[in-house]
Amino acid sequence: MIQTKEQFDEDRRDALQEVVNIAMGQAGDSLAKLFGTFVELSIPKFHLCDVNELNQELSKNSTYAEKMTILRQPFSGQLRGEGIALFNNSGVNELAVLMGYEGEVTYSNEREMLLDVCSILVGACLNGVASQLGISLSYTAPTIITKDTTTEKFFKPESIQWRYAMIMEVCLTLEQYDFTSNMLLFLSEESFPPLMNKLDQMLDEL
Amino acid sequence: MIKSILVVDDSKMSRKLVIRALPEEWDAPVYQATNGLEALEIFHDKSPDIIFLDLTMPELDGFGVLAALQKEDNKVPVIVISADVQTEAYERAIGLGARAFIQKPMSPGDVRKVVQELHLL
Repeated sequence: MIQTKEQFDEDRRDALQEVVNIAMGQAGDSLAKLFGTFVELSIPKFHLCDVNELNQELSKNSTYAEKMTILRQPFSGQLRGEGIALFNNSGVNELAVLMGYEGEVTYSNEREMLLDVCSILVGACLNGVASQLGISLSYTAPTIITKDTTTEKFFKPESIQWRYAMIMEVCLTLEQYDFTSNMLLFLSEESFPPLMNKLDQMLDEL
Repeated sequence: MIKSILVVDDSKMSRKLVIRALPEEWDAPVYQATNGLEALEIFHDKSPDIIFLDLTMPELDGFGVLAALQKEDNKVPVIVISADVQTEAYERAIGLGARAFIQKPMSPGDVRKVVQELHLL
């Protein structure tokens, strides 16, 4: 891990942050079109950590103390891992309004909405990253992994199959709606050499 | 004639990409800023003839820079280069006086094409 952290130096981190920033811009545009409203994007923040340190790192941001709905979208190919989308609970209610549901929202409607939004958000982000790095990724359909829980209760290091977590905090906020979403990226250990190589190629071309 | 250039982006890689894409004809010093506040400080100190401006930045974002320049009634050409590709971001930037909007990821020829269209070459 120490070696991996050291390899992820300032230039590579800056390059990856910009790659994700561009990818999230595309994801934000897709969501804006879906919702018909402007999506405000925060500056992506990065932190690479061992999954054992994940909760300690997440506890630095009070957002993760709130109860959330958590979805995952696994991916494989030259990079392997999972994109995790976290929605604040009040945001889930706002989603129904944004997506034009009237009256009581059934479990089935809510599930459909969340999966659609996760697919757009995580899919667009990963597609954007893959296309900029010149790699191909395959995706598995997103699933809701838990509702109404805090990250601390949910992310137990022993139950996470991945070695590293790229805490990629990108906050999407919708104007006039209490909706925010954050994303995490879990990466397998073997994903780092190809990722570093691709980032180096980008940097070498400058 | 372009005598100096200001490139504003919090990403070092993006600043390098923009600088590499600048027309060869502009043999002019390039100043760099990593956020909007720094950009305004350099702008007032060095009076660059053109600004390439990112939108999503810490301290003060690109919209804030555009608003400050508009308030000063400054007509320096500003070309926005942004990952925020939403129509509303484009309209807001143009409304605040940006002369052009380049979407990230940009191609090497995008800067040249835009400055030609703006008759800045």
